[in-house]
Amino acid sequence: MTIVAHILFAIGLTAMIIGSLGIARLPDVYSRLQASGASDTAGIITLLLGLVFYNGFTFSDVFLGLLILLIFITGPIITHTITKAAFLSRVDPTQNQTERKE
Amino acid sequence: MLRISIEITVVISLCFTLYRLFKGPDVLDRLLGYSSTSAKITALLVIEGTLNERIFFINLALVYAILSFLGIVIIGRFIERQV
Repeated sequence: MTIVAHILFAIGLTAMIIGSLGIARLPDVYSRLQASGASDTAGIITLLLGLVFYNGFTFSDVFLGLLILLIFITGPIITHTITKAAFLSRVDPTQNQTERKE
Repeated sequence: MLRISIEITVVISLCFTLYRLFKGPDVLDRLLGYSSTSAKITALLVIEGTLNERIFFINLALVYAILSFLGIVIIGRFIERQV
Protein backbone atom coordinates (compact mmCIF):
# COMPACT_ATOMS: atom_id res chain seq x y z
CA MET A 1 0.00 0.00 0.00
CA THR A 2 2.82 2.39 0.90
CA ILE A 3 4.77 1.57 -2.27
CA VAL A 4 1.71 2.45 -4.40
CA ALA A 5 1.41 5.72 -2.49
CA HIS A 6 5.06 6.60 -3.09
CA ILE A 7 4.78 5.85 -6.82
CA LEU A 8 1.67 8.07 -7.04
CA PHE A 9 3.51 10.87 -5.16
CA ALA A 10 6.41 10.66 -7.62
CA ILE A 11 4.12 10.79 -10.67
CA GLY A 12 2.11 13.72 -9.30
CA LEU A 13 5.10 15.80 -8.27
CA THR A 14 6.84 15.21 -11.62
CA ALA A 15 3.74 16.33 -13.52
CA MET A 16 3.36 19.37 -11.27
CA ILE A 17 6.95 20.58 -11.62
CA ILE A 18 7.09 20.02 -15.40
CA GLY A 19 3.84 21.96 -15.81
CA SER A 20 5.16 24.83 -13.70
CA LEU A 21 8.32 24.99 -15.83
CA GLY A 22 6.08 25.14 -18.89
CA ILE A 23 4.04 27.96 -17.38
CA ALA A 24 7.19 29.94 -16.60
CA ARG A 25 9.03 29.32 -19.87
CA LEU A 26 6.60 29.01 -22.82
CA PRO A 27 6.20 32.09 -25.02
CA ASP A 28 2.45 32.32 -25.70
CA VAL A 29 -0.85 32.47 -23.78
CA TYR A 30 -2.25 29.37 -25.47
CA SER A 31 0.93 27.35 -24.89
CA ARG A 32 0.90 28.27 -21.20
CA LEU A 33 -2.78 27.32 -21.04
CA GLN A 34 -1.98 23.94 -22.50
CA ALA A 35 0.79 23.35 -19.95
CA SER A 36 -1.39 24.55 -17.07
CA GLY A 37 -4.54 22.65 -17.98
CA ALA A 38 -2.71 19.39 -18.45
CA SER A 39 -0.46 19.53 -15.41
CA ASP A 40 -2.68 21.00 -12.69
CA THR A 41 -5.55 18.54 -12.93
CA ALA A 42 -3.40 15.43 -13.44
CA GLY A 43 -0.77 16.34 -10.85
CA ILE A 44 -3.11 17.27 -8.04
CA ILE A 45 -5.50 14.35 -8.61
CA THR A 46 -2.58 11.90 -8.60
CA LEU A 47 -1.15 13.48 -5.43
CA LEU A 48 -4.52 13.25 -3.64
CA LEU A 49 -4.92 9.61 -4.70
CA GLY A 50 -1.49 8.94 -3.20
CA LEU A 51 -2.60 10.56 0.05
CA VAL A 52 -5.74 8.38 0.08
CA PHE A 53 -3.61 5.25 -0.33
CA TYR A 54 -0.96 6.38 2.18
CA ASN A 55 -3.04 6.70 5.36
CA GLY A 56 -5.18 3.60 4.93
CA PHE A 57 -8.88 4.25 4.81
CA THR A 58 -9.99 6.71 7.47
CA PHE A 59 -12.75 9.29 7.80
CA SER A 60 -10.77 12.09 6.14
CA ASP A 61 -10.78 10.15 2.85
CA VAL A 62 -14.40 11.28 2.37
CA PHE A 63 -13.21 14.89 2.13
CA LEU A 64 -10.30 13.87 -0.10
CA GLY A 65 -12.76 12.14 -2.45
CA LEU A 66 -14.93 15.24 -2.53
CA LEU A 67 -11.87 17.36 -3.35
CA ILE A 68 -10.80 14.97 -6.14
CA LEU A 69 -14.32 15.15 -7.63
CA LEU A 70 -14.33 18.97 -7.37
CA ILE A 71 -10.93 19.39 -9.06
CA PHE A 72 -11.86 16.83 -11.73
CA ILE A 73 -14.91 18.94 -12.64
CA THR A 74 -13.56 22.48 -12.23
CA GLY A 75 -10.13 22.10 -13.87
CA PRO A 76 -11.34 21.85 -17.50
CA ILE A 77 -13.96 24.55 -16.82
CA ILE A 78 -11.23 27.00 -15.73
CA THR A 79 -9.07 26.20 -18.77
CA HIS A 80 -12.02 26.58 -21.13
CA THR A 81 -13.03 29.91 -19.57
CA ILE A 82 -9.55 31.45 -19.89
CA THR A 83 -9.14 30.14 -23.46
CA LYS A 84 -12.53 31.57 -24.48
CA ALA A 85 -11.62 34.93 -22.92
CA ALA A 86 -8.28 34.96 -24.77
CA PHE A 87 -9.95 34.08 -28.08
CA LEU A 88 -12.72 36.66 -27.74
CA SER A 89 -10.16 39.33 -26.75
CA ARG A 90 -8.62 38.82 -30.22
CA VAL A 91 -5.27 37.41 -29.12
CA ASP A 92 -3.82 36.05 -32.34
CA PRO A 93 -2.90 32.35 -31.99
CA THR A 94 -0.35 32.49 -34.83
CA GLN A 95 1.70 35.40 -33.48
CA ASN A 96 4.55 35.31 -30.98
CA GLN A 97 3.25 37.31 -28.03
CA THR A 98 6.59 38.15 -26.43
CA GLU A 99 7.80 40.00 -29.50
CA ARG A 100 4.53 41.90 -29.73
CA LYS A 101 4.54 43.03 -26.10
CA GLU A 102 8.10 44.35 -26.20
CA MET B 1 10.85 13.57 6.09
CA LEU B 2 8.36 12.59 3.41
CA ARG B 3 6.16 15.58 4.23
CA ILE B 4 9.07 18.03 4.13
CA SER B 5 10.34 16.78 0.74
CA ILE B 6 6.86 16.85 -0.85
CA GLU B 7 6.22 20.35 0.48
CA ILE B 8 9.59 21.62 -0.78
CA THR B 9 8.82 20.27 -4.27
CA VAL B 10 5.38 21.89 -4.32
CA VAL B 11 6.85 25.21 -3.10
CA ILE B 12 9.47 25.14 -5.90
CA SER B 13 6.69 24.73 -8.47
CA LEU B 14 4.75 27.48 -6.66
CA CYS B 15 7.68 29.86 -7.24
CA PHE B 16 7.48 29.34 -11.04
CA THR B 17 3.75 30.07 -11.09
CA LEU B 18 4.22 33.12 -8.82
CA TYR B 19 6.77 34.42 -11.36
CA ARG B 20 4.08 34.18 -14.06
CA LEU B 21 1.51 35.77 -11.73
CA PHE B 22 3.64 38.85 -11.00
CA LYS B 23 5.42 39.33 -14.34
CA GLY B 24 2.80 38.22 -16.89
CA PRO B 25 2.54 40.83 -19.63
CA ASP B 26 -1.23 40.54 -20.02
CA VAL B 27 -4.23 40.16 -17.75
CA LEU B 28 -4.85 36.67 -19.15
CA ASP B 29 -1.38 35.56 -18.06
CA ARG B 30 -2.02 36.89 -14.58
CA LEU B 31 -5.34 35.03 -14.45
CA LEU B 32 -3.62 31.83 -15.57
CA GLY B 33 -0.92 32.31 -12.93
CA TYR B 34 -3.55 32.90 -10.26
CA SER B 35 -5.39 29.72 -11.25
CA SER B 36 -2.27 27.58 -11.09
CA THR B 37 -1.09 29.21 -7.83
CA SER B 38 -4.41 28.53 -6.10
CA ALA B 39 -4.24 24.89 -7.23
CA LYS B 40 -0.76 24.56 -5.69
CA ILE B 41 -1.93 26.20 -2.45
CA THR B 42 -4.81 23.71 -2.30
CA ALA B 43 -2.31 20.86 -2.66
CA LEU B 44 -0.16 22.34 0.14
CA LEU B 45 -3.16 22.61 2.48
CA VAL B 46 -4.18 19.00 1.83
CA ILE B 47 -0.64 17.69 2.40
CA GLU B 48 -0.34 19.67 5.63
CA GLY B 49 -3.71 18.37 6.81
CA THR B 50 -3.12 14.72 5.95
CA LEU B 51 0.54 14.04 6.73
CA ASN B 52 0.72 16.34 9.77
CA GLU B 53 -2.50 15.07 11.41
CA ARG B 54 -4.42 18.33 11.26
CA ILE B 55 -7.74 17.30 9.80
CA PHE B 56 -9.41 20.70 9.59
CA PHE B 57 -6.92 21.88 6.95
CA ILE B 58 -8.69 19.54 4.49
CA ASN B 59 -11.94 21.47 5.02
CA LEU B 60 -9.99 24.71 4.49
CA ALA B 61 -8.64 23.30 1.21
CA LEU B 62 -12.18 22.39 0.06
CA VAL B 63 -13.52 25.89 0.77
CA TYR B 64 -10.43 27.50 -0.82
CA ALA B 65 -10.82 25.43 -4.01
CA ILE B 66 -14.51 26.37 -4.36
CA LEU B 67 -13.88 30.09 -3.78
CA SER B 68 -10.90 30.28 -6.17
CA PHE B 69 -12.94 28.48 -8.86
CA LEU B 70 -15.75 31.03 -8.47
CA GLY B 71 -13.33 33.97 -8.65
CA ILE B 72 -11.51 32.70 -11.75
CA VAL B 73 -14.73 31.97 -13.68
CA ILE B 74 -16.23 35.36 -12.78
CA ILE B 75 -13.06 37.29 -13.75
CA GLY B 76 -12.80 35.30 -17.00
CA ARG B 77 -16.38 36.05 -17.98
CA PHE B 78 -15.78 39.72 -17.07
CA ILE B 79 -12.68 39.98 -19.27
CA GLU B 80 -14.22 38.43 -22.37
CA ARG B 81 -16.81 41.16 -22.84
CA GLN B 82 -14.33 44.03 -22.41
CA VAL B 83 -12.95 44.13 -25.96
